[in-house]
Amino acid sequence: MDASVDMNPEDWVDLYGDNLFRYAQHRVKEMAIAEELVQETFLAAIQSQDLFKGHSSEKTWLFSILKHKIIDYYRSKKKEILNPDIEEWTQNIEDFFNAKGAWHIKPQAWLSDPERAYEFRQFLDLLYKCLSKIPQRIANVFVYREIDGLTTQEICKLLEISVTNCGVMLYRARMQLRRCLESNS
Amino acid sequence: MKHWMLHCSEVSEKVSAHMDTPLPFRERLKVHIHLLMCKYCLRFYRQLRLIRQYCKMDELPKTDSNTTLSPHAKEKIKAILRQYRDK
Repeated sequence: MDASVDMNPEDWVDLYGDNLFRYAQHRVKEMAIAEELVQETFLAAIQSQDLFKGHSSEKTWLFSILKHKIIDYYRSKKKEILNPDIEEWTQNIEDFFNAKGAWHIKPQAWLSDPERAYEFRQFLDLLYKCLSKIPQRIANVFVYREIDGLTTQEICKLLEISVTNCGVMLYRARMQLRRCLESNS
Repeated sequence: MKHWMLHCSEVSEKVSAHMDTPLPFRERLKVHIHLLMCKYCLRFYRQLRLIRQYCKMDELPKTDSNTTLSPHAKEKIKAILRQYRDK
Protein backbone atom coordinates (compact mmCIF):
# COMPACT_ATOMS: atom_id res chain seq x y z
CA MET A 1 0.00 0.00 0.00
CA ASP A 2 2.80 2.43 0.89
CA ALA A 3 4.61 1.62 -2.32
CA SER A 4 1.58 2.75 -4.30
CA VAL A 5 1.44 6.05 -2.49
CA ASP A 6 5.09 6.69 -3.27
CA MET A 7 4.42 5.87 -6.89
CA ASN A 8 4.69 8.72 -9.32
CA PRO A 9 1.18 10.08 -9.99
CA GLU A 10 2.17 10.58 -13.59
CA ASP A 11 2.37 6.82 -13.90
CA TRP A 12 -1.28 6.68 -12.89
CA VAL A 13 -2.08 8.62 -16.05
CA ASP A 14 -0.45 5.96 -18.21
CA LEU A 15 -1.92 3.09 -16.24
CA TYR A 16 -5.48 4.29 -15.73
CA GLY A 17 -6.02 7.34 -17.94
CA ASP A 18 -7.59 5.49 -20.84
CA ASN A 19 -9.93 3.44 -18.66
CA LEU A 20 -11.07 6.46 -16.71
CA PHE A 21 -11.61 8.38 -19.91
CA ARG A 22 -13.59 5.56 -21.46
CA TYR A 23 -15.87 5.38 -18.44
CA ALA A 24 -16.34 9.14 -18.30
CA GLN A 25 -17.14 9.38 -21.98
CA HIS A 26 -19.63 6.57 -21.58
CA ARG A 27 -21.46 8.67 -18.99
CA VAL A 28 -21.21 12.24 -20.19
CA LYS A 29 -20.92 11.52 -23.93
CA GLU A 30 -18.92 14.65 -24.80
CA MET A 31 -15.19 13.90 -25.20
CA ALA A 32 -14.05 17.31 -24.02
CA ILE A 33 -16.05 17.04 -20.81
CA ALA A 34 -14.86 13.49 -20.27
CA GLU A 35 -11.27 14.66 -20.63
CA GLU A 36 -11.82 17.45 -18.16
CA LEU A 37 -13.37 15.09 -15.64
CA VAL A 38 -10.42 12.71 -15.90
CA GLN A 39 -8.07 15.63 -15.38
CA GLU A 40 -9.99 16.72 -12.30
CA THR A 41 -9.91 13.17 -11.03
CA PHE A 42 -6.14 12.92 -11.16
CA LEU A 43 -5.77 16.32 -9.58
CA ALA A 44 -8.13 15.40 -6.76
CA ALA A 45 -6.25 12.14 -6.33
CA ILE A 46 -2.87 13.78 -5.94
CA GLN A 47 -4.37 16.26 -3.49
CA SER A 48 -5.78 13.56 -1.27
CA GLN A 49 -3.21 10.81 -1.47
CA ASP A 50 -3.32 10.26 2.26
CA LEU A 51 -7.02 9.37 2.03
CA PHE A 52 -6.10 6.55 -0.33
CA LYS A 53 -4.58 4.49 2.47
CA GLY A 54 -6.96 1.67 3.31
CA HIS A 55 -8.77 1.69 0.01
CA SER A 56 -8.90 -1.52 -1.98
CA SER A 57 -6.80 -0.47 -4.93
CA GLU A 58 -5.65 2.63 -6.74
CA LYS A 59 -7.89 1.83 -9.67
CA THR A 60 -11.01 1.52 -7.50
CA TRP A 61 -10.10 4.70 -5.66
CA LEU A 62 -9.55 6.68 -8.85
CA PHE A 63 -12.81 5.42 -10.27
CA SER A 64 -14.58 6.46 -7.08
CA ILE A 65 -13.26 9.98 -7.45
CA LEU A 66 -14.31 10.04 -11.08
CA LYS A 67 -17.83 8.93 -10.29
CA HIS A 68 -18.18 11.68 -7.70
CA LYS A 69 -16.91 14.16 -10.29
CA ILE A 70 -19.46 12.95 -12.83
CA ILE A 71 -22.28 13.52 -10.36
CA ASP A 72 -20.90 16.97 -9.55
CA TYR A 73 -20.83 17.70 -13.25
CA TYR A 74 -24.48 16.73 -13.67
CA ARG A 75 -25.28 18.87 -10.65
CA SER A 76 -23.66 21.88 -12.24
CA LYS A 77 -25.41 21.56 -15.58
CA LYS A 78 -27.85 24.36 -16.12
CA LYS A 79 -29.73 22.39 -18.76
CA GLU A 80 -32.38 20.11 -17.31
CA ILE A 81 -31.20 16.52 -17.50
CA LEU A 82 -34.30 14.91 -16.15
CA ASN A 83 -38.01 15.33 -16.75
CA PRO A 84 -38.76 18.78 -15.32
CA ASP A 85 -42.36 17.90 -14.58
CA ILE A 86 -41.41 15.30 -12.05
CA GLU A 87 -40.69 17.04 -8.80
CA GLU A 88 -42.13 14.45 -6.47
CA TRP A 89 -38.81 12.87 -5.64
CA THR A 90 -37.63 16.02 -3.94
CA GLN A 91 -40.41 15.66 -1.43
CA ASN A 92 -39.82 15.79 2.27
CA ILE A 93 -39.51 12.33 3.68
CA GLU A 94 -42.80 12.82 5.54
CA ASP A 95 -44.61 13.36 2.23
CA PHE A 96 -43.83 9.84 1.05
CA PHE A 97 -46.42 8.52 3.49
CA ASN A 98 -49.88 9.63 4.51
CA ALA A 99 -51.11 10.23 8.04
CA LYS A 100 -51.82 6.52 8.48
CA GLY A 101 -48.29 5.57 7.56
CA ALA A 102 -49.24 4.09 4.19
CA TRP A 103 -47.52 4.93 0.91
CA HIS A 104 -48.69 8.19 -0.58
CA ILE A 105 -47.39 7.26 -4.03
CA LYS A 106 -47.23 3.49 -4.13
CA PRO A 107 -44.10 1.84 -5.53
CA GLN A 108 -44.79 0.61 -9.04
CA ALA A 109 -43.70 -2.67 -10.53
CA TRP A 110 -40.45 -2.17 -12.41
CA LEU A 111 -40.70 -4.08 -15.63
CA SER A 112 -37.58 -5.65 -17.04
CA ASP A 113 -36.73 -5.02 -20.62
CA PRO A 114 -36.02 -8.25 -22.48
CA GLU A 115 -32.74 -6.82 -23.73
CA ARG A 116 -31.00 -6.75 -20.37
CA ALA A 117 -27.76 -5.05 -21.36
CA TYR A 118 -29.57 -2.01 -22.72
CA GLU A 119 -31.78 -1.78 -19.66
CA PHE A 120 -28.79 -1.96 -17.36
CA ARG A 121 -26.94 0.87 -19.11
CA GLN A 122 -30.02 3.07 -19.15
CA PHE A 123 -30.56 2.38 -15.49
CA LEU A 124 -27.08 3.44 -14.48
CA ASP A 125 -27.22 6.55 -16.64
CA LEU A 126 -30.44 7.54 -14.93
CA LEU A 127 -29.04 6.62 -11.52
CA TYR A 128 -26.17 9.08 -11.81
CA LYS A 129 -28.46 11.81 -13.05
CA CYS A 130 -30.90 11.21 -10.21
CA LEU A 131 -28.06 11.34 -7.70
CA SER A 132 -27.22 14.81 -8.95
CA LYS A 133 -30.75 15.92 -8.11
CA ILE A 134 -30.70 14.74 -4.52
CA PRO A 135 -29.27 17.13 -1.91
CA GLN A 136 -25.51 16.75 -2.04
CA ARG A 137 -24.89 15.75 1.58
CA ILE A 138 -27.41 12.95 1.33
CA ALA A 139 -26.33 11.83 -2.14
CA ASN A 140 -22.72 11.60 -1.00
CA VAL A 141 -23.56 9.16 1.76
CA PHE A 142 -25.36 6.96 -0.74
CA VAL A 143 -22.43 7.07 -3.16
CA TYR A 144 -19.94 6.23 -0.41
CA ARG A 145 -22.06 3.29 0.66
CA GLU A 146 -23.33 1.76 -2.57
CA ILE A 147 -20.82 2.87 -5.19
CA ASP A 148 -17.60 3.27 -3.21
CA GLY A 149 -18.50 0.31 -1.03
CA LEU A 150 -17.67 1.82 2.34
CA THR A 151 -19.26 0.39 5.47
CA THR A 152 -21.46 2.58 7.62
CA GLN A 153 -18.70 2.72 10.22
CA GLU A 154 -16.23 3.99 7.64
CA ILE A 155 -18.68 6.62 6.43
CA CYS A 156 -19.40 7.77 9.97
CA LYS A 157 -15.69 8.15 10.59
CA LEU A 158 -15.07 9.94 7.30
CA LEU A 159 -17.89 12.44 7.70
CA GLU A 160 -17.73 12.59 11.50
CA ILE A 161 -21.39 11.81 11.93
CA SER A 162 -23.26 9.41 14.16
CA VAL A 163 -24.44 5.99 13.01
CA THR A 164 -28.03 7.16 13.46
CA ASN A 165 -27.44 10.22 11.33
CA CYS A 166 -25.82 8.09 8.66
CA GLY A 167 -28.79 5.72 8.65
CA VAL A 168 -31.23 8.58 8.28
CA MET A 169 -29.31 10.02 5.35
CA LEU A 170 -29.08 6.67 3.61
CA TYR A 171 -32.80 6.20 4.11
CA ARG A 172 -33.61 9.61 2.65
CA ALA A 173 -31.26 9.04 -0.27
CA ARG A 174 -32.75 5.64 -1.06
CA MET A 175 -36.30 6.93 -0.84
CA GLN A 176 -35.62 9.87 -3.12
CA LEU A 177 -33.44 7.98 -5.52
CA ARG A 178 -35.92 5.12 -5.90
CA ARG A 179 -38.72 7.55 -6.57
CA CYS A 180 -36.62 9.52 -9.06
CA LEU A 181 -35.69 6.37 -10.95
CA GLU A 182 -39.29 5.26 -11.03
CA SER A 183 -40.71 8.52 -12.27
CA ASN A 184 -38.12 9.00 -14.99
CA SER A 185 -38.28 5.62 -16.64
CA MET B 1 -55.39 -0.06 15.81
CA LYS B 2 -53.23 -3.14 15.68
CA HIS B 3 -50.21 -1.92 17.61
CA TRP B 4 -48.07 -4.89 16.72
CA MET B 5 -48.51 -4.35 12.99
CA LEU B 6 -46.01 -2.12 11.32
CA HIS B 7 -46.95 0.77 9.07
CA CYS B 8 -45.41 1.01 5.63
CA SER B 9 -43.53 4.10 6.76
CA GLU B 10 -41.91 2.09 9.55
CA VAL B 11 -41.20 -0.84 7.27
CA SER B 12 -39.47 1.36 4.72
CA GLU B 13 -37.14 2.65 7.45
CA LYS B 14 -36.39 -0.84 8.71
CA VAL B 15 -35.81 -2.24 5.25
CA SER B 16 -33.32 0.53 4.58
CA ALA B 17 -31.60 -0.05 7.92
CA HIS B 18 -31.35 -3.76 7.18
CA MET B 19 -29.39 -2.96 4.03
CA ASP B 20 -26.56 -1.78 6.24
CA THR B 21 -26.89 -3.59 9.54
CA PRO B 22 -29.01 -6.74 9.83
CA LEU B 23 -32.08 -6.18 11.95
CA PRO B 24 -32.52 -8.09 15.18
CA PHE B 25 -34.57 -11.26 14.77
CA ARG B 26 -37.84 -9.92 16.13
CA GLU B 27 -37.71 -6.82 13.95
CA ARG B 28 -36.85 -8.91 10.93
CA LEU B 29 -39.83 -11.15 11.62
CA LYS B 30 -42.25 -8.22 11.87
CA VAL B 31 -40.93 -6.78 8.63
CA HIS B 32 -41.10 -10.16 6.93
CA ILE B 33 -44.75 -10.58 7.90
CA HIS B 34 -45.54 -7.12 6.60
CA LEU B 35 -43.80 -7.89 3.30
CA LEU B 36 -45.90 -11.02 2.91
CA MET B 37 -49.02 -8.89 3.05
CA CYS B 38 -47.92 -5.67 1.38
CA LYS B 39 -46.92 -5.81 -2.26
CA TYR B 40 -45.83 -2.16 -2.23
CA CYS B 41 -43.30 -2.61 0.50
CA LEU B 42 -42.15 -5.82 -1.09
CA ARG B 43 -41.55 -3.89 -4.31
CA PHE B 44 -39.70 -1.25 -2.32
CA TYR B 45 -37.45 -3.87 -0.76
CA ARG B 46 -36.73 -5.55 -4.08
CA GLN B 47 -36.05 -2.23 -5.74
CA LEU B 48 -33.51 -1.24 -3.11
CA ARG B 49 -31.80 -4.58 -3.66
CA LEU B 50 -31.82 -4.02 -7.42
CA ILE B 51 -30.30 -0.56 -7.06
CA ARG B 52 -27.54 -2.00 -4.90
CA GLN B 53 -26.88 -4.81 -7.32
CA TYR B 54 -26.65 -2.49 -10.31
CA CYS B 55 -24.38 -0.09 -8.47
CA LYS B 56 -22.02 -2.97 -7.74
CA MET B 57 -22.07 -4.06 -11.36
CA ASP B 58 -21.09 -0.62 -12.63
CA GLU B 59 -17.98 -1.52 -14.55
CA LEU B 60 -16.01 -0.20 -17.43
CA PRO B 61 -17.93 -0.64 -20.69
CA LYS B 62 -16.48 -3.48 -22.74
CA THR B 63 -17.28 -1.84 -26.05
CA ASP B 64 -15.35 1.07 -27.52
CA SER B 65 -11.91 -0.11 -26.54
CA ASN B 66 -10.64 2.34 -29.13
CA THR B 67 -11.67 5.27 -26.99
CA THR B 68 -8.50 6.55 -25.45
CA LEU B 69 -7.13 9.75 -24.04
CA SER B 70 -5.13 11.54 -26.67
CA PRO B 71 -1.37 11.75 -26.06
CA HIS B 72 -1.85 15.50 -25.90
CA ALA B 73 -4.44 15.19 -23.16
CA LYS B 74 -2.20 12.83 -21.22
CA GLU B 75 0.71 15.22 -21.39
CA LYS B 76 -1.49 18.07 -20.32
CA ILE B 77 -2.63 16.17 -17.25
CA LYS B 78 0.90 15.10 -16.39
CA ALA B 79 2.05 18.69 -16.64
CA ILE B 80 -0.69 19.78 -14.26
CA LEU B 81 0.26 17.07 -11.80
CA ARG B 82 3.91 18.08 -12.00
CA GLN B 83 2.92 21.68 -11.38
CA TYR B 84 1.00 20.68 -8.29
CA ARG B 85 3.85 18.62 -6.94
CA ASP B 86 6.41 21.33 -7.48
CA LYS B 87 4.39 23.87 -5.50
